[in-house]
Amino acid sequence: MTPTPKIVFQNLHIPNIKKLAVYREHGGYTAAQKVLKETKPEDIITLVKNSGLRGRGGAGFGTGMKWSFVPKDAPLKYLLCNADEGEPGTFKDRILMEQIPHSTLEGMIIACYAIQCPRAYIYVRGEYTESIEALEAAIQECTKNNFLGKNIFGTPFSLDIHVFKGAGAYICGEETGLVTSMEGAKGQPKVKPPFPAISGFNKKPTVINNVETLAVLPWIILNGADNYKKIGTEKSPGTKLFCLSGPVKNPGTYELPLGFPLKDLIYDIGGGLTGNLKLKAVIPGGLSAPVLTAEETMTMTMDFESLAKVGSMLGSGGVIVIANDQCMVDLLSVITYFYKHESCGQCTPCREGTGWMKKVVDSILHQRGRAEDIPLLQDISTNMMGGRTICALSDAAAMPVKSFVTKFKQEFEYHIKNKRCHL
Amino acid sequence: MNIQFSPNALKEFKSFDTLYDNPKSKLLPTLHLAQKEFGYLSPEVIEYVATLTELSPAKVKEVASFYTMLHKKPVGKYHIQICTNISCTMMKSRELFSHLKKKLKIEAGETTQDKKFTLSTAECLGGCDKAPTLRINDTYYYQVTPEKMEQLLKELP
Repeated sequence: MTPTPKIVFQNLHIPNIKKLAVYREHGGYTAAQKVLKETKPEDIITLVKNSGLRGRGGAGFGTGMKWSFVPKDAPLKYLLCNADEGEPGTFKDRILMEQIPHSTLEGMIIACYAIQCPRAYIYVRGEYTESIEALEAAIQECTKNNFLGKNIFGTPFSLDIHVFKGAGAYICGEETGLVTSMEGAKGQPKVKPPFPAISGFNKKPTVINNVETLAVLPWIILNGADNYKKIGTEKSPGTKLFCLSGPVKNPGTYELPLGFPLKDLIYDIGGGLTGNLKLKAVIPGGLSAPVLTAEETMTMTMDFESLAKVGSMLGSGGVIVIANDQCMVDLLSVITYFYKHESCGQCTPCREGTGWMKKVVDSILHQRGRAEDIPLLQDISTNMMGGRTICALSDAAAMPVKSFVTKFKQEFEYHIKNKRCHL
Repeated sequence: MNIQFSPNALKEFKSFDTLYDNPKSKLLPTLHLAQKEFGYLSPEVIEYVATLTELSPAKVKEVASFYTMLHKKPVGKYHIQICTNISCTMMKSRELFSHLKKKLKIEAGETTQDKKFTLSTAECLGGCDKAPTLRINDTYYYQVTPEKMEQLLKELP
């Protein structure tokens, strides 16, 4: 295997890289300066489009494409950096913010210049105290050195960036939920269209990009779209941060080229499972991604298209390893509780469906299950929850249920038939 | 009105004016600030925030009720929040939670009589690679076993 260049993690292990001076010593802000001094905004959008960069928050939408939807003549626009990292099994953005906050800020300067936006916010989940502190310190340093504020680097472009602290709600990671939360309301998503690029924060054109997406931008500016496309696969170019958790020897966050074999992530990089445990299943892209069996895991590669092909998704890159000591009914009870707790309540199918699924799974878990409960769960997750609501939380809640009861049906049947767990 | 921000908090509140184009955006930051200042968002605090932000108390209460980090009742000096999502569950966070419930003699969401500890479950805190993860107030602790928890409790000031 040829070594892949590190992109967002290139400076991770440099001591004090969170300081502006150290970040600059290692090439920091040269990309932003180059862009502001030498490049036209529309050329940046074209470059990012050509790089094939897809959003790293979960949906994988083309970043350059998203930017190009913003009307050029709008007098006020916003960029919101989505740092409300809440997808269970995901802990990558916090590393970027805590350790290399300037790379996110530099990415934001580039993105704001590309869409010509004077004001940007970073919506950080409220629990991430260290991220908030690191970003605020970095913003302060930048402002002091004229890397942010009026006429950045002595150019006509001005930009201010502020941190907005979330308050504990998974749904605010959904981009329109994030917008309503910033508008002083419950974080309930809005009907699309209009998409935020047309009417977002304060009803102004708004681009919402994930932390990791923004942190990639300086590298693309300095190294070019073609070099970026050389990494990864044809339809999923570049590297991705993968968060490995569960009972493996080396859990952690790893930057790898897209298309990386999942088996190698778990067994080589992750060192395999601890003790005598055997692999049972893997949730490959954060909790909402449909589960893979051990067999599917062995041949899977980690990119948007390969995971979509088997009905799962790359999502946020949170790889959750499940071993043979776990009961899938028990884990599904944990999962359904999460979505019930986090449903914002505005759409009936989601508000009612998430609670209903939790009740049915719990009745199976607590030995009150009936044979018809398995088709019932399939029915709710397919016909009630899928594609019938304002945002994707309902689908996200349905996908684990559907995949667990389909792929691990025998464990649910065992519970129902024998009134006990198979373990 | 009996309560009021300290001069420092009032200064911080005033600084919000320059940060947002829409005054409504000040609500969440003001609620955070009020919680820091008064400990939790009592009906009186909600009224005060409503006056400051020029919103109705009902609106402020509605928003406060939506977010888990905003406390509508008093919390103890140490708020212990244990992640019970999937990765932490697999790494035995439920066992840790049961241990703490027994030790502190309280249930989830409750506060000890001496007002020292509040115990809560939390959704994924983003510490899955070092599970089980918990937070005591704003500080993260990782790979916490019941033994490590005992030590931790002893070391708290």
